[in-house]
Amino acid sequence: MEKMRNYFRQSLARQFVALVTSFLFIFVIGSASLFSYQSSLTTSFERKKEQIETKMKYAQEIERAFNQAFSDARGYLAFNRKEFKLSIFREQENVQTALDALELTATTKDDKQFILKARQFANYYFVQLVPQAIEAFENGNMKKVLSLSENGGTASIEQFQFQMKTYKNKLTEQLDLEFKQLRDNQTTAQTAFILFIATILAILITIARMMMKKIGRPLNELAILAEKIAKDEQVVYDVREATNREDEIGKLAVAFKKMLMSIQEKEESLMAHNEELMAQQDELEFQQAELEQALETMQAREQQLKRRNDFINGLSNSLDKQEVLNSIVIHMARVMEADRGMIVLMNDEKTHATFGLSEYGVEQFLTYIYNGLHQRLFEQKKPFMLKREVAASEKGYHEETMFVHDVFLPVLSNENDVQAILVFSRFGGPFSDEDIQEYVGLTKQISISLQKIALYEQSEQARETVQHILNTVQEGIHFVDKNGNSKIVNKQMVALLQRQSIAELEGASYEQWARGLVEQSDAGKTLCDYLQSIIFNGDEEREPFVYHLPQKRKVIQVYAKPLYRNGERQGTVFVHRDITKEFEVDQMKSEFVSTVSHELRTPLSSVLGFTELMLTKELKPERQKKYLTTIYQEAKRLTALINDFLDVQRMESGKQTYDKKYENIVSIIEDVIETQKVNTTIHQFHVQKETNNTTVLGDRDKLAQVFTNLISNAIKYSPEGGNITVRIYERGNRLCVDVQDEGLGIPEEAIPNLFTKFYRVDNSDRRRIGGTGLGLAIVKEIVKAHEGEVSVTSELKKGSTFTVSLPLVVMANTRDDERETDEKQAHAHVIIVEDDENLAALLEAELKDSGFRVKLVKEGKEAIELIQKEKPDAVVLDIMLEEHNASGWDVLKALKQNEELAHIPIIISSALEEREKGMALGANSYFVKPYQPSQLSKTILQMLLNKERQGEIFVPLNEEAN
Amino acid sequence: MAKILLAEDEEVLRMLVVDTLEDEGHDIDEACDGEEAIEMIKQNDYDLILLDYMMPIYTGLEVIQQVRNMPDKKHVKIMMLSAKSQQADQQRVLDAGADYFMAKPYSPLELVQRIEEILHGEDA
Repeated sequence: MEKMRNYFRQSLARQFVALVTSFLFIFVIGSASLFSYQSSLTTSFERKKEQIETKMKYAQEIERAFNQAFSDARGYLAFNRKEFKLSIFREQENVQTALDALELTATTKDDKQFILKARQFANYYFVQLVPQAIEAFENGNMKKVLSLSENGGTASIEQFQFQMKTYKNKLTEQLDLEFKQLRDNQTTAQTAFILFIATILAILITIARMMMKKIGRPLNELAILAEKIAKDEQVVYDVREATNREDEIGKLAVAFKKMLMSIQEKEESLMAHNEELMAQQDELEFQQAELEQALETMQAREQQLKRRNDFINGLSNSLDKQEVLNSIVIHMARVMEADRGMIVLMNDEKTHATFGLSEYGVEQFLTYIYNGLHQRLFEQKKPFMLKREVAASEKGYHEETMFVHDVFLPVLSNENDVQAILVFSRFGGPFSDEDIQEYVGLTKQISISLQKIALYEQSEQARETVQHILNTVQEGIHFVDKNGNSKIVNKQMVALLQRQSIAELEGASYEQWARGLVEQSDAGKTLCDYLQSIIFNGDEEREPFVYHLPQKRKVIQVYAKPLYRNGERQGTVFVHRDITKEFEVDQMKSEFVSTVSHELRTPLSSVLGFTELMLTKELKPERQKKYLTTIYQEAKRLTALINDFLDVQRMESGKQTYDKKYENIVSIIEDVIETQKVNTTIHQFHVQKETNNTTVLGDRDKLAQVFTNLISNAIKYSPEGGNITVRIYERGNRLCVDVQDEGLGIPEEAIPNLFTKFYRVDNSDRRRIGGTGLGLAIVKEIVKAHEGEVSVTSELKKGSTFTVSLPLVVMANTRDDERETDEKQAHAHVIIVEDDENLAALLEAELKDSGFRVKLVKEGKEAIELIQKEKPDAVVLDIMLEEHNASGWDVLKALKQNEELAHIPIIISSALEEREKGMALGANSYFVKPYQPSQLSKTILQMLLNKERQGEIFVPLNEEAN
Repeated sequence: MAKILLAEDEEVLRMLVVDTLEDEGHDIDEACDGEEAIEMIKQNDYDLILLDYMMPIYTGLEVIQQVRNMPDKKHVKIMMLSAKSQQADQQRVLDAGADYFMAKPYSPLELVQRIEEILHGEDA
């Protein structure tokens, strides 16, 4: 029970649900009972009404039956008709039946009484009266019949009829009574219903009031309180009734109370805190005042700093000197609020920048830079200020006296030298000491800027020097950092990388710069691998790498060296060396060896083979002869080959000496043809001489070899015979000789290689044509040694023409003049300084033969004296003289130092190979012993002729001469 | 007696070999360059072909390659005669399809002996 109460006390909702449930319960019960009562009333009324109506029906039936019987009896008695008599009895039965039915429904005393009386009357009437009357009537006893009716018969009937009527009235009354009762009951029920509704309303009002009291009031109180709290009023909440409750309101009230208390506590603590803060604020206000004071000081300082900052930021970051100076002047003027000013660097060029100055003024300042007003700066190295009256030119339209303030500021370097001076003028007012101090601070900044530029210029110069040095190196040099970026290249490398300028490669990434190289090289991928392994993997042990540039026909060798700074690899230097020459020489060498070996083995095979046959076999004499002939020819061929080979070697290595003289080329050619004619019967030789200038300066034997080779080739390569024409003609300053055949001709593609050693045109027609493959190479070498050229034109199956062109020697004079020349030669005086008597005699004989006047002298001093005395036209001078008081060098020096003798041509004749030294000392020619004496006389002659240009006779026409 | 082709551009060497082998009773055809050699090989069945290395038009090496590409000449015996006697040259020739190699200058008697061996080897 207690539990139950608690259960409800703890929750308003439960209480509410309980109330409503009970209310509904009562309402339903009440309604139901009222309703059932009402319906039972009606039912009972209906039943009674029905009962009464049934009784009425039966009563009427009885009445009707009796009345019928009465009328029948009277009819029968009146009319004597049997059917009436029967009907009487039938009505008796009807009465009986109705009475029985009525008896069954009889409820009241009246009913029973009536039934009894009815029965008695029926009994009387039907059993006594009627039969007696009938009997009497039948018996004709009318009297009796009348007596009967008068004795009571009629009276009893009337009495019964009355009773009957009474009963029926009673029934009607009963019905009315019932109805009235019903109405009364219904009225009662309605009253009860109104009462019920009233009760329900009363209950509802009670519940509402209770709820109001239990929920509304405390909530309202809380709401008011909350509002008060919100309005920040002092609130005390202590409602025991509410807080003691256990339901939601109770909890709410408790929570509310707690909250209220905690708010109050907090408020107190806040108040305390607030007071503290107020105290602090006071203190802060005091401090602020102090700070404001400090701030003012700082702002002043800040202004200064800002100006300084603006100045520094304003200074151009450029490394261009002029740009920086311009920016200094403009910004300085802005800081100083100056109207004009300038800066001058104390370098050789006096580089300067100005602001608001005329050209003339600037020039004047620079002219007197070392003795103007500012001279003080150089001595004191301190700034100073001048106040002066404004000059008329500066005054504009002002008439009154005005002053201008000039500030002179030195810019000091780290070494305390004046590296620049600044001069600024202000019309607006004087400069304070603080201003000047500030400007001095700025000059330090300027000094840093200037030093930066100086450093940059220095490093730029150093860089340029390095670049120039790199560019003079023949190898391509390339410095690549460890990320593969191109850092330094020289000109050669730029060309190698197929770029236009060094700048293009500055900082280029590996992909960018390597592409040009890799694309044109034949070893793209491997070259790439090589470069990458060194750049990116620091592979330092790689051997130099060789690659070809097929388009440029170059062979390049690249090697790499790492560069270290403080033990850390900075990158790699690649050096690309053009080794085309070495490579070609190498290749040629190995080809040459292989070819020589083949060329030698072929004749050797024949010699050895046939010799072996002859030694081991019994051969017929004719075969023996044939073999021996072959052996002989092959051995000769071998010899020719070896000779040719040695010739070529000698010529190529420059060891071949040429005994050059003035020769008539026609005679050489005619001699050659004479010899070659023997070897053929099917060729006709023709010499066409188209010029008279057929003299050349050359070695007769070697020139003969040239034409021998050319003419023998012409014979060999025209196996069907034909004309071989040699044509001699002038072409410009050249003497040309064509050797033309009508033979096989040379395929076009073979022409470029024709003069290469061992090159032989590869075609079937040439298979039977022997040769060493060296002939034309020899021709080329000899002609080259004669400052000439050899070329070829050819048409297949039509023949070839080889053209040799040599420098033309113009025979200016006729044969008669030649004699004059001889006379002139006879006058020429030559002194020979030579201690070897035999050689001296040989030379003397040769020179005398050539028509010179000759004197011999053995030692140096004597020689100098003699030369001074005789003043010869030329001197032949030995160097290693027997007596050591004066060597040939001393003689040479002495002669060249003497103005009178310096012009005399000197030909050194020495075993020493010191040509350069001799020529440097002033010798005109240098002969290394042993030499052909004829060469000496030729040289002297040429020299004299050159010297006396006016009367020249033989003049070799060089290209320079034209 | 065997039918032999000699391809050699040097007339004297042709004479040497032809004389020597004819003395031994062989039937020798001569070719002066690579082209001629190929023509003759196409038209004849040789027991042995002797090829010079350095010949005009086609070198001995080229001749071998062409011959080995002829369906019916895959097995014809070829001997290369060459002044290029280094190991590498010799190997190249053998790789190209030559069966035998002799270096110049060669002894004619040795050549005869080599040929006898080769031809006898065939008989056996």
